[in-house]
Amino acid sequence: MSLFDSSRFLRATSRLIVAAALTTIGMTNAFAVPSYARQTGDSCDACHIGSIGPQLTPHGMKFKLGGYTDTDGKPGHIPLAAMAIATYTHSSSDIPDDEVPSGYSSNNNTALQELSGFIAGKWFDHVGSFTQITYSGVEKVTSLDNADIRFATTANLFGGDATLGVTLNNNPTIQDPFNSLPGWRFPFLGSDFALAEAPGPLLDGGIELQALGITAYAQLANGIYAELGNYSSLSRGFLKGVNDYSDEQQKIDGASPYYRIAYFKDNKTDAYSFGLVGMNTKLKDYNDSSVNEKFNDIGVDGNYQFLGTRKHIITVAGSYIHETVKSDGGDVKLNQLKVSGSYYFDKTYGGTLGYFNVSGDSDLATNGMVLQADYTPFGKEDSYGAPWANVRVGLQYTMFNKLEGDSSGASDNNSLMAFVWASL
Amino acid sequence: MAVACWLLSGSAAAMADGDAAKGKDVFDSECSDCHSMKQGKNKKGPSLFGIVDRASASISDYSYSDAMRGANVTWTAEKIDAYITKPKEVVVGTKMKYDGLGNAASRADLLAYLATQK
Ligand code: HEC
Repeated sequence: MSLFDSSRFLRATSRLIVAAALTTIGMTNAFAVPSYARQTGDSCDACHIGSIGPQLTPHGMKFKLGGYTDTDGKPGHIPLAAMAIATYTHSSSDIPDDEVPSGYSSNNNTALQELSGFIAGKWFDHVGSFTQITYSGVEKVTSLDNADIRFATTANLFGGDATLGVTLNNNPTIQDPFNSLPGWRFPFLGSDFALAEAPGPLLDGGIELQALGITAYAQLANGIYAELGNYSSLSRGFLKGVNDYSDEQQKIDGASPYYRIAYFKDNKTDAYSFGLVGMNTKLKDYNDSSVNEKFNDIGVDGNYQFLGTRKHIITVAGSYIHETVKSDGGDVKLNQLKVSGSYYFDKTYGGTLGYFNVSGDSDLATNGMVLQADYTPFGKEDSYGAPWANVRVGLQYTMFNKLEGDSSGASDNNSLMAFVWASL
Repeated sequence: MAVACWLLSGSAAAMADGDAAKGKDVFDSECSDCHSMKQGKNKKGPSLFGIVDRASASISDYSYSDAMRGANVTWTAEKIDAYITKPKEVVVGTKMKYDGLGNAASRADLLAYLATQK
């Protein structure tokens, strides 16, 4: 999420999304982790639609559920990788003077948006991680970004092989494998110079990177995926040390249970999943315990992938999340619908169309589209540099038809981003 | 210690009239995430170049499971057919995480294709 929309957010929804607005890194972070390819011997395309992260194939989903631990059986794999994302952004109107990040202009900015290091791969037999440390070239800070550390094992349950695991992570839904929930869904990458972003529920990055969750999950052979756990806030000291921290940030009060049930079927030539997700959270001010709000999020989601021989891949994924926020100031209702469809040719040329619609209280109503075209020349079995290098270049256009209740002027916030995303 | 038990599937007749072109598609859908057809290219599974009539666990720079190392078979079309129908029942303890290909016609096409790759 960019800094610039925080003021807009605050105006529109008062304290509703304070936590989200102040946690400025990571919402649309991408991942691309060649250390996984080096560890497994698989090429990037085996696990990723379009040959670079984060959209997962069924093979990639299983690798994640298995705790990032699958290997080709050889010793000596080092679970380290790196990534750089550079962007150029043109928006329909200029960034207001007081919100232009230092060192940048009011429009047409080129930036090294993200430089990330990953500790990604197998640590021990049943323990592996996806952990990202990111330097933001726009905000000029380095912080602990997405972290997902897992223990996973297999067991014979209900007459089939089940995968059982526990994840320790810092953003509810980044542990999810199905690319339909906020943690990892299209657009996987957004510009730090975007003028606006649609409001979202707490599950959509509201407590990302400042929360610490432990959830236990089971993927049964019959297709049922079930997960249950709890989130709490990281300490202020920890956040000050390794992450963004602001005095206005809120923290989780008491328990914040997270639950998820889904069904996942991999037919090899196609695959699908659908499910239910929810989280109940109370937030209060670090400094003023009398202020508190109760968030109840519940959502449904689905994902379909036509995989065929991998020459033509078509995916459709989305979720609908309903949120009620109760506080002294009254109740707020929000519904977020996000769906996207993509087509990839030859695991190399891709086009994606995304639609978002936020409804609920009238000052939240927002809708629009995101279009992306991208080209990923490497990441396949015979590719140059495999498994050491991968790159994607692309163009993304974001358009608003309505922004926080207003149709007029919404399109002033439209933006075009060109990006180069490289990993090794 | 795993014991391999080989089931003869009796589908040799079906294999004889498999279509290799269709079999390439089956390979791309079912096997290519983990196996390459290129000689010397091991992914999560070993290269399947020249797999028909190859001795099991014979790729020297691939790290097989103990179960596969102890299997001691020659991968005839029948044996491959049985293995990919129910991998975990045929080589108990194999680390091939594949549920099996139930469709006999697809297996016949696939085997016809595998036979051309040598
Ligand atoms: C999820 C990954 C995966 C998939 C999908 C997969 N395999 Fe495998 N395969 C492996 C692994 C790993 C091994 C090594 C097994 C062992 O050592 O126990 C293997 C071993 C084999 C072997 C024995 C090779 C040797 O050198 O002895 C054959 C034959 C084989 N696979 C055929 C296939 C075919 C045909 C398909 C598609 C229908 C397929 N596999 C799908 C991972 C996979």
